Amino acid sequence: MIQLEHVSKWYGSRAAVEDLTFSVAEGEVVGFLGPNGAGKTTTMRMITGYMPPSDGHLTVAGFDPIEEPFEVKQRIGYLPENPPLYADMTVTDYLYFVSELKRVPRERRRAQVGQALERTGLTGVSNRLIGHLSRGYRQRVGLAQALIGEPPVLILDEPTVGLDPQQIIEIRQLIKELAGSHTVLLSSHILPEVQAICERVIIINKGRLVAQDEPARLAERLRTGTEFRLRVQGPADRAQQLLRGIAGVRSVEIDRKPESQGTGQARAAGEALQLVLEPGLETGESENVRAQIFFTLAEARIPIVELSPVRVSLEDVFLQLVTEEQPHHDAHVTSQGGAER
Amino acid sequence: MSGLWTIYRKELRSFLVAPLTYVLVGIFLVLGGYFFWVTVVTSGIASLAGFFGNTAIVLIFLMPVLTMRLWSEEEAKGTAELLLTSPVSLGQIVVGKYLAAVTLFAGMLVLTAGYPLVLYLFGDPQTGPLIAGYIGFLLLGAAFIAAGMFTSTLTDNQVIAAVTGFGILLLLWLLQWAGDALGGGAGEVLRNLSAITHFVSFSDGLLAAPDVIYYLAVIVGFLLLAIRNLGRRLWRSLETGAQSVLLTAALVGILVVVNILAARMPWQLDLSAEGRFTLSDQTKQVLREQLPGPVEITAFVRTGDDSPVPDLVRAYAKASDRVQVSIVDPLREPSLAQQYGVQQYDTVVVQQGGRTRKITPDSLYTLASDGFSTEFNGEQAITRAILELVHEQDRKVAFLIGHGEVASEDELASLFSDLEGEGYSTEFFNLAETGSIPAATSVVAVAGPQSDLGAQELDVLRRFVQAGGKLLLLLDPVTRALPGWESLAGQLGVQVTSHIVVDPERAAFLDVLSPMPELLAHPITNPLIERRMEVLLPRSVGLVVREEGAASGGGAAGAPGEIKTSALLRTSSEAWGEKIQQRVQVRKDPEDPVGPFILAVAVEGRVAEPVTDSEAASKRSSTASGGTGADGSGQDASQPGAESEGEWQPLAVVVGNSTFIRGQFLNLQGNRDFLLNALNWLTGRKSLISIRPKVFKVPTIALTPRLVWNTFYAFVVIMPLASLFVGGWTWWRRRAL
Repeated sequence: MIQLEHVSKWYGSRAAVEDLTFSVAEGEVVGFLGPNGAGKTTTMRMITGYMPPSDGHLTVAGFDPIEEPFEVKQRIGYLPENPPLYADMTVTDYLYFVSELKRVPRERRRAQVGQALERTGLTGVSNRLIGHLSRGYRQRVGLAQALIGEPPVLILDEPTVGLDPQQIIEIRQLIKELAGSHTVLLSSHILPEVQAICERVIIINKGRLVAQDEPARLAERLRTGTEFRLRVQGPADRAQQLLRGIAGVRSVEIDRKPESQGTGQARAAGEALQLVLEPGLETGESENVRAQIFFTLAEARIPIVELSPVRVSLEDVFLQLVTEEQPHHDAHVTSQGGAER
Repeated sequence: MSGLWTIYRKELRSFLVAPLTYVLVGIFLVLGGYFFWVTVVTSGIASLAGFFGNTAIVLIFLMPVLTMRLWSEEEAKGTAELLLTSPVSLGQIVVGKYLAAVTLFAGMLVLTAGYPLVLYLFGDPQTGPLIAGYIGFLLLGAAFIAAGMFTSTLTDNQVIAAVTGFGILLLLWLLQWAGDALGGGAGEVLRNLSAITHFVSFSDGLLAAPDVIYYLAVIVGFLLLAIRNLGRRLWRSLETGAQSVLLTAALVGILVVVNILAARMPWQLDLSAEGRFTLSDQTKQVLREQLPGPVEITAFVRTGDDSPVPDLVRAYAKASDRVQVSIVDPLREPSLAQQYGVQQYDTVVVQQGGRTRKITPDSLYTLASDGFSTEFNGEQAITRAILELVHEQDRKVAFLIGHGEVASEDELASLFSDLEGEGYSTEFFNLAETGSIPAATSVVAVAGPQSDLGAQELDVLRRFVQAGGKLLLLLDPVTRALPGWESLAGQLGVQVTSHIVVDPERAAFLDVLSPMPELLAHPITNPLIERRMEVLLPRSVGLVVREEGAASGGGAAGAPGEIKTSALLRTSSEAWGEKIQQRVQVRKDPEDPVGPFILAVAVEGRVAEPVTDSEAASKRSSTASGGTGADGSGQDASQPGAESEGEWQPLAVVVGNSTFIRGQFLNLQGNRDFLLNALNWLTGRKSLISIRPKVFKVPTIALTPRLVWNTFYAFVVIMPLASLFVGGWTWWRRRAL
């Protein structure tokens, strides 16, 4: 439904988006992930025809947003980062205005506005001035606006930003409901949201595609090592020294952060260590290393009071992806991207 | 189109719920109402021209504030992203918003409907200028709104948009001053680009193509620029900064060219009551069919004067490609004014084929019969000047010298300049030297001889008159006897007394030696009588008409056939004659002859012999209806039988005074007109065309003091407050939504 091929956007000599290639299939819900300034908003604006790409080619439902703007604009519901709201209009008036803008036939406007109000839970405030609504409601009005005209494609730029947890859950629920009938591309920097809603995640950083995959697979595939959390009763320095001697252990650090040390009674429970195994170990090998850790510390009479794996969440992946600068990883990811095509 | 309609309605609605709108409307009504009150109610003129002119300046400040939000706000609030990603075109967005603002402005004009209502209730306004004024005001506002729409697309900051818009409007306004200061062709181009230049004639009742096209061009230009501003982000734009500057310059250039081309477009709708912008069919025909070459018309008008002259001469330029017109402020271009000897504002100089006619304001304006309005004869005067330049040779007036006559160029400079403007060439000649009258002389003028005429000279002059030559004889009171001159006058049926005229009843400034004689009806004096002008003749010699009416010359030495005399100027019957001395004793003695005396005589005769070719031409058209302001009826009556042999021909004008043509005396009262009329009558210059003068009636309105204050309260206090109240109420009503 949405197709980008080697799309770039420069502002002067600075590239906001560089050589971006991905596609979103019909009915798919895709999360668009990246830190501030990664080029998410720019990409979405290019898709909606708000600005032309400097280079490359992109289509929405087979139409070029610049060459055939009306064809594209009629098929897209767009919620920009800042909801485009007129503070001096009531919610209903505003949605009617949008329905006219989107060329909804006169006889269907009423139904569509009513439906949008209902779906976004705005029925109670439909006759209030938008300027008098809370931030959460305004965000919903923005979303309702995107739904007007029953566009097959929804582009949602940070749809849950500024909402309270209850509202976030509601909006996520709504997006999930929309998933079946719409193609959705939503950007976010709230990772649980993407994990919760999206079937696929596209991660960009500094205008470049970093990775794209299903949330779970992405987490697994990009794991760089296995992390454990270790708590021992006894001298942490000695433990560290011993553990470093074990083959398969990549690093051992004493975690001196107060919150890691615990307080009061818990402090007596021992000192915490952060332990990372060599990456790429087979499952069996990993277990062997863990057994080795146990026996080594037992021999030195340093009891292990806790040994727990640290689960690698998408959040960590994300952080790693966007902070990793080493050429090794760049090549790695790029080759993966190539395989994906 | 549906997109445009959607945007339009949304925008209009935004205006109507914004408190700022009501504040602006309130300010507009306060100032507009005040200007109306000052220029109409308190001054008694039933015209909205003053209201429009002053309020137009208010628009320079108001309009940018009204329009600043049009796009800047969309940009600042992020709603631009909604509009630009919706299936509406940029044109629909820009034009929709623009039309909404124009509609609001039109609504503001509707709120001023009370002004014309007052005019119609208590005065007699002219409907045409009123309608044209409103159309012009709407166009002006619409052009300002377009400029504001454009500046609003430059920035997301409304204050910057408003200030920029204000700057542009001020520039459009001031271009006229710049044009005035610059002068010449470049100045005219600048003036033509100014929004004020094109605004002025609307409230006089003219809907002219150049003015309308100017505003439409400004509107279209700014809207295109606005669309391009928005499109620069939206389109796959390849233009660089330099290209975009070029593109803007090209667009502005095209608009300038369109405007310059439009300036010569003749289409116009004249809604003024007196048709001040429309030339008569006669003039149009003259311009169309009778111009052998280019005609230049230069009007000397003071900048800022409410003069009909510029409108009139521009109408000539529009009517014919061969007419070149320039409007000159003599203060700014004194050298040009000096070149043509222009001494008064509203002087028009017409040039054709190297010859010049100067039309002074005296022949442009006359007081209408109601004693209040002005009649404007400009078209008659200019068209006549053109016809004369095209069809007539200059006539030569030869001033005889050698007998102590006025011979100084200085003393006659003013007269000569006027004569030149009227199509006369002048020269001095001494008959004793030349022995004959200079060739092609139409009129021999003798201005105050102090010594007598020789016998040979007398003979030459007699023969000249017998051959149909014209004589202007201005005789002064002279102490010695002048039998030669008396004989010449006698042959013309006029006896010269040896007394200086004392008229205690009709005298200027109680100087009994400066009679202001009664004007007797004659083609020479009629225009002065109509205009209630006097002739002032300091130190005059009394004349006696020997035989009033038709008589035979009877003189022994070759009578010129029958002659007919008509007295032109006559003293009161209280006048008497004093003996001519160096120091005149003004005391009525029994032996002093008593008045009334004749001070000027027109002489006609029947001339049998054919005259010279040039004289024949004038003879053919020669009638009794000469003079600057001759009426058409006299001309018509004299047409039949113009070729007949026995027709009465002007022969001479004899005046018992020559002082009145000297130096500044010429400018006193009707002296100049009297002399010019006499010359025109002598040379048989008829009015070549007769165009009804335009009467400029000042529409009036009279309100009782009570009503004056009621209109003040209604328009300056209540209406604006009502606007603020509605705004406040709107806010209050929506406050709880």
